[in-house]
Amino acid sequence: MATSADDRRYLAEVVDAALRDGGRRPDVGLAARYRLPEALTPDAVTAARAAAVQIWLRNVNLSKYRDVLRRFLAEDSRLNPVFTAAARGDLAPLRAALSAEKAEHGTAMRRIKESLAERAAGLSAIAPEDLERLAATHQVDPVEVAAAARAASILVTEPDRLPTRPPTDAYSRYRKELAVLDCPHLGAFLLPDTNAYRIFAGEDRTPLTPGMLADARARWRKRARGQDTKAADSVVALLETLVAARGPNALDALMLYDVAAELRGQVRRGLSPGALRGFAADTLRLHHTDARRAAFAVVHEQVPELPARIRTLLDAGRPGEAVDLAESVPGADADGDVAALLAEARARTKKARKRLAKAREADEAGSPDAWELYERAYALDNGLTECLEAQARLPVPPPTCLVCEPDPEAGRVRLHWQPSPAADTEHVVFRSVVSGAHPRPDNGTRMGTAHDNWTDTSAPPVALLAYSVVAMRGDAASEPCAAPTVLLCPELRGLDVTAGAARVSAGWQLPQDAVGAWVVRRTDRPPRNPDDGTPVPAGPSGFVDAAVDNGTTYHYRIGARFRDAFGRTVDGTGVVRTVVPHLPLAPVRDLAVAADPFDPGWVVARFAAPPEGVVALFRVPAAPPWQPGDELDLDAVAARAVRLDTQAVDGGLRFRHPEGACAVLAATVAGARCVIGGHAPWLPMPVLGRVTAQHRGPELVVRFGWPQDASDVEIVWQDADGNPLTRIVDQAAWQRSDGIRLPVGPDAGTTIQARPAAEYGGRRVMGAPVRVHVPEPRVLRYAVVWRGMPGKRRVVVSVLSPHGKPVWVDQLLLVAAPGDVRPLRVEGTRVLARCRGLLVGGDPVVLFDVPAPDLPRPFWVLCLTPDKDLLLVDPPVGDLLRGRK
Amino acid sequence: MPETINPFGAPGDPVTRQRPYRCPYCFATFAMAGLRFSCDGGRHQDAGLFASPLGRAHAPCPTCGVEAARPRCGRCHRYLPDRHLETPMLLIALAGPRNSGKTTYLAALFRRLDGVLADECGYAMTAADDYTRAALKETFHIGDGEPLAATRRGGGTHMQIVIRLERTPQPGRRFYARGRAKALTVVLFDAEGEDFDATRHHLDYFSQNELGHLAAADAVLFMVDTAAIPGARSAADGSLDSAATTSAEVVEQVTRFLRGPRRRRDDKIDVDAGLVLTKIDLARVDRGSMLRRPRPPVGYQANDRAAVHQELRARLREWEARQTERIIEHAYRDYQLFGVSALGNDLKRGEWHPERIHPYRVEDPLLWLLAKAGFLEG
Repeated sequence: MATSADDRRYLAEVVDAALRDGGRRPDVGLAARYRLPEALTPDAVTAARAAAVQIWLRNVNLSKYRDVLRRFLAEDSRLNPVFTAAARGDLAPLRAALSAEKAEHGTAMRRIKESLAERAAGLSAIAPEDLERLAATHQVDPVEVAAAARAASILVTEPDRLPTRPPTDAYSRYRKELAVLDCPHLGAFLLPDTNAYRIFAGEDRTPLTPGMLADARARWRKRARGQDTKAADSVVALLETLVAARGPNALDALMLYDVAAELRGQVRRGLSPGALRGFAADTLRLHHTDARRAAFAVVHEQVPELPARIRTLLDAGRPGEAVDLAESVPGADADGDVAALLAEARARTKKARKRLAKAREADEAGSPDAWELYERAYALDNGLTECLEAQARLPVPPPTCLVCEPDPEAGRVRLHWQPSPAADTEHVVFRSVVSGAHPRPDNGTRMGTAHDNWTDTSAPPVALLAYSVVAMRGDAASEPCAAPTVLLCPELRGLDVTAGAARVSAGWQLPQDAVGAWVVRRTDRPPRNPDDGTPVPAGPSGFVDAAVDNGTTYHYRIGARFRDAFGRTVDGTGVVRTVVPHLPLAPVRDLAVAADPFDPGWVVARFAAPPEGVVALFRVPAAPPWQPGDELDLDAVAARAVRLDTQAVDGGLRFRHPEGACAVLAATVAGARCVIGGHAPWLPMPVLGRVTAQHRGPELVVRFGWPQDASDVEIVWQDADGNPLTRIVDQAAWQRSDGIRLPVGPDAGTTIQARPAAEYGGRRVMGAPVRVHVPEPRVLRYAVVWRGMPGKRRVVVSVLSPHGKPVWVDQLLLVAAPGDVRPLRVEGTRVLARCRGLLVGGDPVVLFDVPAPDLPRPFWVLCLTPDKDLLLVDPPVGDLLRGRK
Repeated sequence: MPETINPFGAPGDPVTRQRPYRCPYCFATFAMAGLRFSCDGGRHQDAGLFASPLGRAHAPCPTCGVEAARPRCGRCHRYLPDRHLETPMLLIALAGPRNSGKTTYLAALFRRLDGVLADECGYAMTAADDYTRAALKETFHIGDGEPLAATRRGGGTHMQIVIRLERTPQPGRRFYARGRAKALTVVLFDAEGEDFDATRHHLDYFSQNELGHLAAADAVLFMVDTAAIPGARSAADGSLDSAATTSAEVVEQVTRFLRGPRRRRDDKIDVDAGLVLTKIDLARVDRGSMLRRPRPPVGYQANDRAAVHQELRARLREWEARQTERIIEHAYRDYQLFGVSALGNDLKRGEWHPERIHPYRVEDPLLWLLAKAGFLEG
């Protein structure tokens, strides 16, 4: 998308500014972002906003500006009420937003000034890097921060770099001598009367010249001899050596390093920047400018501290170097951290030395542990390179017990050995072919590397092979471990011997370099060698032996024939195969498969049994890939079909209901061979589980679990006249309601037959039926009538059998009970009347007519029976309960 | 329009009698003037809610003048169900200790209510709001082996199911008889996670927010686990379920609370009460008992109801568990005993399957209340 000039200008002026410092620049305030006019008017504000938003939308897809412009657009949505008010003429929210922005900026600047004063305390200076960080933290332009620093008389300057290493190796001694003289630095020794030393390069630097050395020597010689003069002489001598080695400027460098070392020591003691400046000016007597510069430089130094360097060396496994470093810095062990690290380094160095000594003792004694001890010593201190040198000198113990086992059938040689007792060794296998001499690293073919076993898959046939194994540790090699020579004669590949009717045939593939094959056979036992038994003529890829009888066991030994380098014939060991020629097996015909009518869940296969062999049944997904009469290996059939677990039944076999539709294949099996017979499709019968039936009013509710694979369930029952009725229930109808409701009539008995059905390719298959007999319940209904005037009330109870069917009643009691709670049992009630042995029909019969009980109201009068199979139907509660409010 | 009079009254407040409508969500009572409206389609959301200047069931938007026809409750500001102002409302609250089977019972009830019962009684059931629709589809749906989620304790949320029953024309019968409601809004309130803990017995605890639905309820169904009644369960069924709070304690707490806002002149509570014995199929009863006989499939039948009620009274006496029933009998204006089984068998939670669940008489309490409300013949 082309960008217009106005867009480019806007992006350069506003968005690029925002992009500085990660897009967090604050100077893109509302006024700049929307390019609001100085004089705010509703129209101008609306137009400016629309123009700005258009620019953002046009350029928001530019990857460079995407993040910033998305932020602008999001903030614009938040500011929508402000601009909506402005468009309506109410500019107060917008002015308030601008004021709030200014106030926020003012707050940030106030905090920055406080931070500046805090950071520059004592030195009145701040590094530009700190200033940038402060500006970024408060999201203010660094230029404004710099102005604020200037206003607060804070100097923004880069810190000077002070030397970190002494100019002379004898610095430690030099410092000790200076300390005896109570001189803090070289200037105090050479120019003791100066009060304001200038140490930094420039015209004002206090000159320290070699001539001053002679003056100092002369000055001190005038004094009486003592410790101080001795120290002064030493210092002068050291300085002369230094000047001679490094030139006259070395004195200025030494002076600078003296000051830096003093100040660093004070910083380590925790002096604040202001106090450090005072120390430099008062104690070291530096010029006030240089005192501030030196203190500022030391405060801002970021060189790794000595403890960190020592720690790094320790972590790298070089404690010896760490000790050297710590001891090279004079007075470093005064620091607690350095002292602790130094102690650790010394302890590790000592331990490493002890291990090294132990390893040397073992080395001298010829112990196999020497190599490991050297290794452990080196692990403690990587600076002990003598360990590596000693390890290279140590001999390597050889491996033992090398055994070579030719595997003629696989055409390879297996080797295994006892590995060398030395640690960290690898074992190299060498092979020589018909050389007679055992191979060494420089005599033989290097075959491979292993720990304790190896297989030679490329061994040449009919050749004397000599193997040896050498243990290697680095460049050091052990003596070779050799094994007796072996001869590898590979056997025939893919050998397959098949017995048919009065014939045995075999096929194979000759191994590499074989010139032919040999075959011998015996009937009493397996042949032991090529000359043991009757030779059978064999071609290069197989033989056919027709001189055999059916039913006789034949042992064949079959091997490959080679010719060696001298043209002699060499026969392989050969392999034995035993076969029995037999008459051909008869396939199974007339296979029929059907569900077992007596045992649901089982399937019966019936067929005419063949004269020989065992019949096996297989489950195949559809029609089998073989033709009836094919003679195959049993394994080949089992690979493509599932053998069914069968039980013998009269006239066939039975097996468990297989899952899903499939085909059942019969095969006649004899040993490992089988003959394919007929097959029959099997369509699984859905099996219905438990079926329950329960009366619910005039309906009978039949419940069952939905059978697997069933398309529907056929339910047959009888109506009151015994006529069969049928209902087909599909799964949707079954799921919809709590069971299947059959209108059999209230309290009627019936027999229900449920039979699942399934459809396979348009063919309907019915499962085994399940029958449930619902007996006709014995129901007795009774009515209670209260007759007579008060005081002469009588209870008249009549009974009848609903629906007119006769019901036999063993015993019926009319009882009365006080209270308003219905009695459930005879116990606790008053028996008003009793009737035994009664046949009740469809017409009401007055059974009891007794005086009403004389009980306080409320009370119950009702019939009870001890016959638990008799369903006694009460009249309405109002007829039984008397006197209830 | 500035509002000078609070049109909403607490349940039991005398002023509420003059306010014929009740919100099915917050149970506030209000007159037509208490309805609030919002601009349809939310075009003028800034305008907020407004009342009908003429106290009607619709009001013009003060900003655009478009007529707003979906009234909201003036207190909770939820949209009222469709045709709510023309339909009487029956608010049924469920109360019972944890694990007494309230949620399972409701799941089985809704399954029956929308299935067999709708055919028997000739009505159509619809969910009145999206929340109810989702709850019926997810929370109260009995899936294959999926247990219903246990109600959360103290979560402050609840299951408030608002359904609308509308009678459907029956062939050969008048559309609806005189005095019978043509439609009814039924609110079932399952206090989710509500803990009727006996240790928190101060009445102050029952604040308006937590038990407000009880104060507004037309009927309370106390759920009692039959397995928790020592004498009820057959000896072969093993140990009893133990619950921290018993059903009797819940009945006492609720009754004590309702005596405040719902007391009548005769000292009874102006609420119908039902004592629902759940898992009744586990109870030890005879084969010919009413508790083993199915409900006559003819809707509500008063004789069957009375027989079951009396049999349960007798059974409770036999089980020596009439204490709860006596409290209810003396405290409430009318009460009934119910024996229900939500599953119809003793399935464990992992064995649930829609085909293996056969609810038994779960609809009895609702049939009784619908008959009392004049929605069903009885």
